[in-house]
Order: sequence, then structure tokens, then C-alpha cells
Amino acid sequence: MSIYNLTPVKTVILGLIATVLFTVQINSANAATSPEDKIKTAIIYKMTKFITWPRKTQNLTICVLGEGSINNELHKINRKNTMGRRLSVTHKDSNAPFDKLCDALFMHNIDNSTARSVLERLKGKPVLTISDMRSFTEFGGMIGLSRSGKKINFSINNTTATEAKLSISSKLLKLSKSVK
Amino acid sequence: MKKQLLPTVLASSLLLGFNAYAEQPATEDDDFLDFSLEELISLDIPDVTSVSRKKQRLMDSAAAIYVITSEDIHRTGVTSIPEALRMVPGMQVARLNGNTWSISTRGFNYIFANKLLVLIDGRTVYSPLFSGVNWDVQDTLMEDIDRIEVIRGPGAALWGANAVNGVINVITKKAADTQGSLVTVGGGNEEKAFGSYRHGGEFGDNGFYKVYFKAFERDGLANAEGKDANDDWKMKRAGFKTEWKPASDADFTVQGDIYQGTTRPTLMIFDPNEPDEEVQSFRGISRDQRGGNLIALWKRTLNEYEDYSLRAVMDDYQNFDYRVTEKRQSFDLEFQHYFQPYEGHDLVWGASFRRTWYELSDMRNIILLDKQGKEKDKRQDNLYSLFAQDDISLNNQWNLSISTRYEHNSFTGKEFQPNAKLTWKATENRTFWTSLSRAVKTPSVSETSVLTNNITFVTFPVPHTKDTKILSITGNRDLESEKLTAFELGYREQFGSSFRLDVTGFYNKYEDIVAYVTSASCPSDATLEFGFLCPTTSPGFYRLPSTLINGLDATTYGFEVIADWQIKDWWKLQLTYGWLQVDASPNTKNPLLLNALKQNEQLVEELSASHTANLRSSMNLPNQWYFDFWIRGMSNLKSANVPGYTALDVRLAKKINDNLEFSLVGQNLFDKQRAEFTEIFSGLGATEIEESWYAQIRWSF
Repeated sequence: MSIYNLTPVKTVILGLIATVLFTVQINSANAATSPEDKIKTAIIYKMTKFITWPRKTQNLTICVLGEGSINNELHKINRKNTMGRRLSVTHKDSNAPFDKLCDALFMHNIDNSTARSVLERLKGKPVLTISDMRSFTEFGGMIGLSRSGKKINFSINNTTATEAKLSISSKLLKLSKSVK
Repeated sequence: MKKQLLPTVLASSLLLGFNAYAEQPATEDDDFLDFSLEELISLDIPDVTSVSRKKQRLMDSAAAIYVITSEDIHRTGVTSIPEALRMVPGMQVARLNGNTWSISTRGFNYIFANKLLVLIDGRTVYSPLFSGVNWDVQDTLMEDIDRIEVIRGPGAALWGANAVNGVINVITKKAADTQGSLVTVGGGNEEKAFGSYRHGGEFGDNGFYKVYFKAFERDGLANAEGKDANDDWKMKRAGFKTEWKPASDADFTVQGDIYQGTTRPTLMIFDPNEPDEEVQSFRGISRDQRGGNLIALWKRTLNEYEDYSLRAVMDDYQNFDYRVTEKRQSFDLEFQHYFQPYEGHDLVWGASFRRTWYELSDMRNIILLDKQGKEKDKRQDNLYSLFAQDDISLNNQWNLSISTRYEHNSFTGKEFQPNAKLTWKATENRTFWTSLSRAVKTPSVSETSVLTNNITFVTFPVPHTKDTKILSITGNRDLESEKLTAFELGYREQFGSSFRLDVTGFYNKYEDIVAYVTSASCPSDATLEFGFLCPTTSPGFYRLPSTLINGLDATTYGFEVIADWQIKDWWKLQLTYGWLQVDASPNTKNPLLLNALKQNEQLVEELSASHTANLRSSMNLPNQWYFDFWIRGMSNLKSANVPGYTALDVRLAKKINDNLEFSLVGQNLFDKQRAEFTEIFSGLGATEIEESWYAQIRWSF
């Protein structure tokens, strides 16, 4: 977008046009990040330090499924280190072979049926599933982020995590709002 | 103690993106990633006001901004929005009776404090009928107020006409932040009984809602003899707020309130049907009020540098007053767009439209007139406006903001209100700012097309007449706007982590201030006697016909200081002080008007107090005990004939656990009763505040 090169008159006109067009504009790829996105991202990043995967490699891949402003934030933790492993954050679409490509999968802004089918495919596979969807841990997700008041907290479904041979540290379980 | 992370974002709770440095996202992100998980989940998500343009620190704003937080409201134990405003430095809050307040800043302290714009969640509550605020119906669940942002000084370029001496923006908490249930109940000798219930929940994939109900019953104040003044006051109110995201980049909020209540203010009235009584004091006449509003806000955020929003507001207000029955509906539509046309420029522009419908009936004392001077009962006004602001980061230290508003109203037509602000961030912890602005106060319906009759009385001797005379005021359709040119200078500094200083000086020049002058014709068809008086139905009792002209100019100047001191982890002090001088003068040499204008000059100069001060202390004691006190003082109001006073409020609270709290609040202690205001133009009798106590239980589950 080269809006930086417009004359003042053009920018005003552009603004006026925007009033007419706002309902049809499609430009959500880089929506603004909110403090909430930043906190969620930081929580996801920190959580990786409390999980032990059955197979330890040099890289830890976090896959992202769904569009939204938090993606910008998640990309900022790409290449950071966590417990000696280098994070790699990649965006995937819903039919990607997550079990082959990802150590963790963050799902957001997707419909319930897609989320359920992805969880079904990943059953027993060592992929940590995280989402901020409602009741995520109740329908088979491992870590659900939720907002309560002005705070973000999380709940854990340790049963599915154990089935997937992921070990969640007791410290993380203690910080969790609810454990199943 | 709450974690004070990210001061830059937290302090962004400012409403105006006047001037600030663009934040350094990189450092900020690192801040979050450096926190432990425990810290992250105990963090409060910082709020960014919908009208905020650039995230900015309180420290860097180029306006005299003061924020009353929900913590301040909680810890002082105030039970209404007007009472909370007493915390603001330089704000003069004076209670005339049980439910009427005079609230103003930087001069012109009057119950028609018409130079202050008040908004609740973006809904303007400024009454165009008398260009003031019906404070008694501006209420919500006090626990759900997120903050009250107060700008002292003009904010007209961004907020519109009548934001001459200040803007008060009440912002309520999001439904997402008020989940679960909350019950409060309490009672005392003045706050006889009050209670509220709120419940918040979730719906759909990303929606939140809350509903609330509150009711109170307040005892009447005292009359000058110390007896109950009968102006007791009851009110019920219910409301809701919902938020959801129809798409990942869009936010939708719908909220609304309905309320109804009744009070019995004392009235001082001449009833032409009972001429022998002359001025009667009417007591115990009910004044019922009811109303409601609905707000829908849709916001789309394209990226960090562009968003737009559309807000629609409907408001209904019905006031069944003895003097007049007023029914008013208004509809507002407002569009706002923010983007960065060039690097370093943050541009926001917007357009809005408002239509207001009035229906007046039972016009006993306040009579709407048409052009021919005949009574009429309906009126409709339109207001259009267009504004733009460019906020320019000149370099790391300097920031310039230029804004302007064009407005078209039904009274004076076009109005143009520009503003320029400059900030110099000398060091990380020291900021200087200055601002030059123009703002107008447009005439109100009552000033232009209303006859105010039989409720205002003046005393002066004329042979063969009784000393007391009725002042009948006929509005003037040719009134122009009052104009203000304001210059402000501010300094803020953070000394270490425990002390903060904020000083603002201002110099305001007003032109064409509205003044009362005698009129050459009687409001009815009567003929003038003695050259300037009109007869009434009571022999020897005369009325003085008068009207309004833009007859005065005025200069006001002064300063306000805020000092915040965190003495210990558990003890916080805030001291504020305001000093104000007003100098008015007639703007005409016309000898016929000069005498009247001289009296107006004196009135304007003596309306406000010269000194106001607040000292607030908040202590978090062991075992979850909390102790707060608040000493406030105001020097005398000459025109209202009210002496200076010092008042003390205290609050002691004990938290049994996170969800249950008991508190005991004492207000206006060691002062059996106190008059805070008197005036002659409304017909309302003045009553006096009494020392009071109340106890409260607050339970969330």
C-alpha cells in the first residue's frame, strides 16, 4: 500500500471513499495487534518451557492456523530460543499435515467444526494444541486460553496431553485455572 | 500490588492522541516476553480508548488531563458522578440541593455550567435546552466505571462546540471485564438505602454481555434552619452492554440504559393565579424524570496505522418539572477514520450529525416562543460537523498537533474551532507542553427562544413598588456564540518512582459572554410603567423585563497543580491545588446598557472560588484493611454568598476475601450542615449538605 505518497487532497478523498467502501474492503492480514495479542503470545512462548516433547530436536515448530492480528505477534517470537531449542513459527492452512510439521499448533478464529476435525486428526500425536476458542479443552484441545475480566488465564486438558505423550510440568498445571 | 508493567500502554488510557511519541514496539514486546508466566496471567490487559489515536503516556499529553480511576471511585466511596468530580484539580463542584449540582472548571461556576462538555461512553449528555448538564440523571453502576477522563481547558476541535472550559468523558468497563456477578447493598443516614446487581456472561464464539440494575433512595438535605428540606430523591436504573467480533478485524458494541426517578426540589415561584402570596416557596412537588439511551459502535481495524469507526446514539429524556415538562429525543451518527498519510503523521478525521427533537408542555415558567413571540411546543435542531487532526512527530523530542473543527448549528450557523499543541519531551521523565485554541459556546434554546418567567427575583427600591421584583427573561434570537481564545502551558515530571508533579497554567480570553440587560417591552401585552417595569396581577408587585446580549468580555487566568506521592508501597498521597482569577468588562460604551453590564461583570467575576484544594490519602493496611481519607477545601463563592469551607471524607474497608468487602464511609464530617451554592435564575431553592455515614457490602461471585 503506497498511501505514503498521496497529496493531502487525495488523502482526504481517499478518506471519503473509505466511508463508502469500508464494508467491502478486505485487508485483515495485518490487522493491528492489541495488548491482549501481545500477552497471549508471551503466554504461548512461556508455556513451551514447561512442556516436554517425546522427541527432542533442535527446532520447535509452532504452527498457526487462522487469520487475525495475533499472527503478527506470533511471528515476532520466530527464532527465539526456548529451553535450548529454536522456535520456528509458521502459518498453515487447515488441511496441512500438522502431525508431521508441527510440535505445537495454535488455532484461532476458525469455526468449531474445523477445530474439531483437526483435533480428531491429531489424537495421540505429540502436537501441543493451544487455542483461545471457547471450551477448547472440553472438546479435546490441550491448552485453552481465555479471558476473565482484564486477565488472560488458561486451562489444561492433561488427559489428552498425556495420551499424546506430552509431559506438562506440575508448575504449569498449578498455574492453570482448571485441569482435566 | 498490581504489576505496573508497560507504563506506556497502561497510561494510554487517555482519550486524545494529542501528542506522543510513537512507541518503540520492539522494546515493548521484549518487555512482555521477559515476564514470567505467573506475571503474565496476573496482568491486567491495558485498555486503549476507542478515540485514542496513538498510544500515549499521560506524561506526554498536551492537555491538562486528569484521570479518575475506578480505584479512586472505589476508595473514596463516592456514590455519584458529580461527587467523584470533586477529585479533579481546579474543578468546582457545588451542590445546590439534593439533586442539582453546579460543576465547572476555570470559571463560570453555575448550575447552568454551560462551558463544559460531558460524554458517557461517547454519548453527549450536554442539554441543548439550557446548555448545561442534568447531572441528576447522569449515572451508571459506579463499580462499572472504568475511568473518568477530564480535560480542563478547551477540547472543541476534537469534541465539538461547548467544550470550552473542559471535557468530561465517563468510560464504563467492557462486558468482558465485568464477568460474573456483583451485588452491592448499603445504607446510611443520607444514602438511606442503595443496592445494585450486575451479571456478566458470554455468548457465541467471542461475545460478552452484562446486565445491571441499581436503585437508590437518598434523604433530603437540610434547609437553613436545620430541618429536613424534603428534597429526597429516588432513582432506579437498568442497563446492558454487549461486545462481540463479527470478523477478526471488527468490533461491535451495543449498550443501553433506562432509568426513572423522582425528587422534590424546593421551588421559589410567583403564581399569577395567587397574586396575594407574591413569592411562594413550593415544597414537596414531585419532579419525575425518566429516559433511556441506546448506543451502537462498530469499529474496523485494518492495521496498526488505520482504523475507522461508526457510532450511532439514540437518547430519550423526559422531565416532568413543575416549571416545564420537557421531552427530548436525539439521534447522533458519528464516523471517524484514522490513518497515516505520511510517515510521522497521524491523521484522524471525522464527521457527525445530530438531530434533536423537543416537545415542551405545561410551560408554567419556562415558555418556548416562536419568532412572533407566540407560545409553541415543538422544536427540532440539527448539528453537522467535520473535524480533522494531524499529529506530527517532528523528532524524538518534539511533537506538534494541529486540529480543527467546522460545525454548523441551528443557532449561529457556521463555527470554526482550530487548535495547535506542541510538546517537548525534554527527558524521559520531563515534559513541557503548550497549546493555543479557539472554542465557542453556542447559544442554547433557553437563551434564544424561551421566556423564563416568575422564578427569578431581584430586589431594588423603586418608589410606590415593592422592593422585590420579578426578573422576566426573554431569550434573544440574535445571540452570537461566546468565543474563547485559550493559551495553556504545562509541565510534568516524574521524580524517581515515587513522586510525580503536574503543573498547568492557563490564560483565557473570552469575547461576547452572555449578559442580562433590561428590555424595553413587557413579555405580555402590558405597557411599561416607570419607564422600565411591567405590572403583575399583584398590585404594587412589578416585573423587570430583561433579555440577553453578548455584552461582556472576560479574561481568566490561573494554574492547577497535581502532586502524587507514593510514600510507601502501602501508602499513597495526592495533593491538588487550583488558583483562578476572573476579570470581566462590558464590551460596549452604550450608556443605556452600561449599568446593567457592570452588574453582570460583578456576577461573572464572583461566580467562582479563587482557591480549591484536595488532599487524598490511600492506605493499604495489614490483614486486608484499607483506610482512606480525603480533605477538600474551596474558598468563598461571593456571588452565591457561600463562605469557604473544608470538608473531610473517610472510608474504612475490610476485605474478607477477594470477593467480599465491607466498608464504612463518612462524608462531610465535622460539619453539621453546609450551604454550597445559591442562585436566583432557576427558581430552585437552595438546601444544605449534612454530615453523613453509610455502610456497604460488596460481594462478587
